[in-house]
Amino acid sequence: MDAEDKKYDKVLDLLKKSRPVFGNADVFSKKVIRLLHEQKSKVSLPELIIEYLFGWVYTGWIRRSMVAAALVMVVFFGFQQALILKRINDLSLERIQNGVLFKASLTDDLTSRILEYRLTGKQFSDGKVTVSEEEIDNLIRSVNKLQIKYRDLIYLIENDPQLKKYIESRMNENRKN
Amino acid sequence: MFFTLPLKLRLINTIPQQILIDKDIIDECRKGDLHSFEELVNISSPFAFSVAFRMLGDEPQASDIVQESMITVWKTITKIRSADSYKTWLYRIVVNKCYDELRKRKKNPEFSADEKTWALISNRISEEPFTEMENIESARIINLLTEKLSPKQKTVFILSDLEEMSNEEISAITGMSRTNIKANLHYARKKIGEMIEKYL
Repeated sequence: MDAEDKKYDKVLDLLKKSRPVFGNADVFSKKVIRLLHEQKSKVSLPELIIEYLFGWVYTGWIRRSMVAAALVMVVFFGFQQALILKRINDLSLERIQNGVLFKASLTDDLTSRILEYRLTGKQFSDGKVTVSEEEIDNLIRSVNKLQIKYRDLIYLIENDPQLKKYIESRMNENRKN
Repeated sequence: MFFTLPLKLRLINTIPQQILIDKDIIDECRKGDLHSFEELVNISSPFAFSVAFRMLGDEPQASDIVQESMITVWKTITKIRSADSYKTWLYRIVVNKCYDELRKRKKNPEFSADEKTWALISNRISEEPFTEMENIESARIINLLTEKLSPKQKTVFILSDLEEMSNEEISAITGMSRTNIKANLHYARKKIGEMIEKYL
């Protein structure tokens, strides 16, 4: 320890030992009590009302009960949230199941099957066939083209009696065979 | 050895360095018993005054702060659960009030180092054994030594080195982390050491 450290320690020791002397604690405490009495008598009506209405929150057992109640409410809230989430998941599954039921009531018509495909979340409920969005679009386009050609053909046949007669006779022959 | 010391010094050494408060007094105060509170003020105000006075170096101001703090304690006594938490609570109120005052003063510094105070320190430390200093003397010395410290550093230095509180207690009182306390204390000691080296 060098001389400077010794000086520092001496100064510190001097200050530590010279604890500030507090005049007269008795007189001081009486003064504090008098001030408290004065303040008590000066309490305004709104303060009294607030104290009367909400003063109970400072009572120990009430505070603890309120904390416990708050915890219970938080747990209950969490439980409710979990329950709601579970129901939402169940509902989304149900939509797919309904889609399967819906499929059963449809005919084999392609449009209906595509509708079913869209309703069931773009998947066939059979589960084994996977079709891309592009393939479905191509299929729809081909079907539409075919339908147009079919309508044109019918139109041609309707307007040409000879052709109509010929086709009917061919069809009858085919049926007989 | 004890009986060879001057009577004044013997009395100083017998003063307890910690507030010793019976739990029952706190319980009675919480029930609104003003007589118990008077006793509580009687026991704890010298300790609160010591901190306030060492921080502010002004007796009437320190006394006012202790008075305000005691009134605050009475208003919030229902929140205090034990004698230990009472000590921390009281010191926290006092330190916060002093800290505000110190920050105000920092804006309007009114103290400057003087030769007389350094001469006083020099005379005092050459005495063997030490005799108790008057409040005004110790205030002058503390003010001089801590003049260049920030309010935070001064607070930590007084609580740690003069009031001999542990870092845990200081942390509970000031709300500062232990690392922060150690850093502030280090700088405070360093600056005071430099001043002592320069002037003594």
